Amino acid sequence: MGRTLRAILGSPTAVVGFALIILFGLAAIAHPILMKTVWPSKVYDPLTGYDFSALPPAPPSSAHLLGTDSLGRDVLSMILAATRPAWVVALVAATTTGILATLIGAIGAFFRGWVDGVLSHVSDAFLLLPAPIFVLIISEAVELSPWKFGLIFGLINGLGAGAIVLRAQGLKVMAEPFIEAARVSGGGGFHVLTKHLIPQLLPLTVLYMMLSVVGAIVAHGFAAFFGQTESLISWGAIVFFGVTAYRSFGAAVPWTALIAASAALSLFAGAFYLVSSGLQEVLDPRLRAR
Amino acid sequence: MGKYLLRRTVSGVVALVVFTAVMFFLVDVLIPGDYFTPFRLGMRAEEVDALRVQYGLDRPIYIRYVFWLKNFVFHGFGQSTTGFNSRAPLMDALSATLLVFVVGLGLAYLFGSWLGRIAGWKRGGVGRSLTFVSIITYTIFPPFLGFLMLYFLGSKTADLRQQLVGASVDWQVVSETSVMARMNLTIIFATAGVLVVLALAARAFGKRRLLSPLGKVIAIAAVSFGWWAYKGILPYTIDVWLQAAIPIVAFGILSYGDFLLVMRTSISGVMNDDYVATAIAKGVPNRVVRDRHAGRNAIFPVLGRLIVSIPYLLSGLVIIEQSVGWGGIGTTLFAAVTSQDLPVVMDVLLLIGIFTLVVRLVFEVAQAALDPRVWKPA
Repeated sequence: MGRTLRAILGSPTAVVGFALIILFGLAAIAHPILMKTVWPSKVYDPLTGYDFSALPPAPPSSAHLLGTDSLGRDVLSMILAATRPAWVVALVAATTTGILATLIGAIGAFFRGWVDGVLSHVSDAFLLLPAPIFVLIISEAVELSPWKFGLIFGLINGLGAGAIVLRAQGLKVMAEPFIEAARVSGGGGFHVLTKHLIPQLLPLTVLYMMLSVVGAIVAHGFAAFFGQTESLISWGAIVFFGVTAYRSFGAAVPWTALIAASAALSLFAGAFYLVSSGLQEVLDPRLRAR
Repeated sequence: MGKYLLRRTVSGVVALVVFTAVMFFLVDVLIPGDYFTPFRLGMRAEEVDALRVQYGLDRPIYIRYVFWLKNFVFHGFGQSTTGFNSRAPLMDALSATLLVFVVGLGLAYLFGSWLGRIAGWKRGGVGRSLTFVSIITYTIFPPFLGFLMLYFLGSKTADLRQQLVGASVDWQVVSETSVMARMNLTIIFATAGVLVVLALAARAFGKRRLLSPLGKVIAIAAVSFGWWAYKGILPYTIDVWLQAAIPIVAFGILSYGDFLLVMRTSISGVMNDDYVATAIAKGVPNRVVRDRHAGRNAIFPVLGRLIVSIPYLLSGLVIIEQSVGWGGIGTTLFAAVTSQDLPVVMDVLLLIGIFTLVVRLVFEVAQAALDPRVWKPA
């Protein structure tokens, strides 16, 4: 365990990723504290704040480190406030994906036969439809909270691509000699499934959960971009307000808001990607050897 | 191999039927109300209910699904609650999407796997910065990318269209989508033709390959443009290219990173293999070892990855289409969802499913042709 941890910390990609994730964690905690202490809510509220001393969209200044958007709201406050819904989507989507994918993949690989046949056809069917598109269709008709959004995304992702990836790994594990050894020494089916197969799958599960965050965050951003989620406070919505203000009433382009929100979204998704690729290097000895 | 492909096709069709059932059910459960719900604004509840009974919407969901399936099998695409047949607009949208998908994905694959080979081969400065840039473009927020491209390039491409072909193009006479459909066919046939001719020629001359990937792309482009010039639609195709440039480039930027990252990992995996060391020890030039020896073997994970990531590539495309206003199936889908035109929604979803299935089958043929381990019994 200690060696694995050291190997993870030895991979620069994983370290950068972890650093970014911690930064976003701090951002989510910092916003309510800042609102209570230094930022008066009339000026800095992420939804209704307005600064009368600066014409929107204002460039960065000491009062507004990232300027204000087309409606005069402080960009930094909006970005920080949007971190929390993003975390909810990411965690819920990753957990749902991980649980479903591991269970379905392990059951398919363990039982084989008709159980596997049914499950893999269902997974194949879910693979035909991109999870982001489906969540978008649903969010067009139903207001989705970050919780529900993550849940639906995780459901589709876990039953589809996730289950396929983990089933393939599960088949490899089931062919290993230690499974046979466990059976010979009297281990029942449930014992082999829970004590041998699933633990062997967990590293890949973690890897896949990290990857699913990337998809979930971008999909949530896009749904918010079209104004179709419950959370008005989100990075996608900030980009949406900026682009709409420019396109429909010819306001100046609020560059700081657009760039900061897009960058936050990309960095958040990218952080999870970096950690997953760092983990991959650690888990795959062929890559670690170098 | 025939047997393997037949098995994949059959299992694909089964997955498609399951897919339609799941979609039908989920769309029904998750989207509240039905086509007649808004009618309540101007009608009494009994009247609306009578309409529901008349149109069969009061039946249980599995009966409605069987109805829908039967209608699709016998009548195909094209039902819509607007009362108009939606088949023609759907096919037009498909050709617009296909153009962006085929060209954008082709470019993304070429650039991605080429840069990935470099990034995997040279660790350190070049490799690290290539990886860094590709992670940024891989996670970039697509609407922002679309906005940037429209903001900086939109008026430029419009000017360019005016200057280059403004006078010789009359879209009143020729329909844009018919040109796109012809362009798709030309590109597909030109690609197949050029590849087959080159393979035959290489066999005749006893060489491994005659043209580099870039050379092949240039040959395909030359054949296609030559054909369009011969057919007299060259100005029209140029006009379409200039319009399609923004979605194609945006889609390419969004998807090349996936290939680059997988190729990079895959190359660093095979780099420690003995045959690479042997080739280098023999004195084979570094670039040749990278592209011919390591690259050839490292391509399999990239192909495998391509098969799994088709849905994500497609969703990227749908998002890009919607962000830059390109009239493809993505735009059609969102329009249909907003007006709660469920038959069209189901048609588009099915179209996406069939599209995915066909693309997957094409990749599986390529994979099976390159790597017999996929289909030969162990």
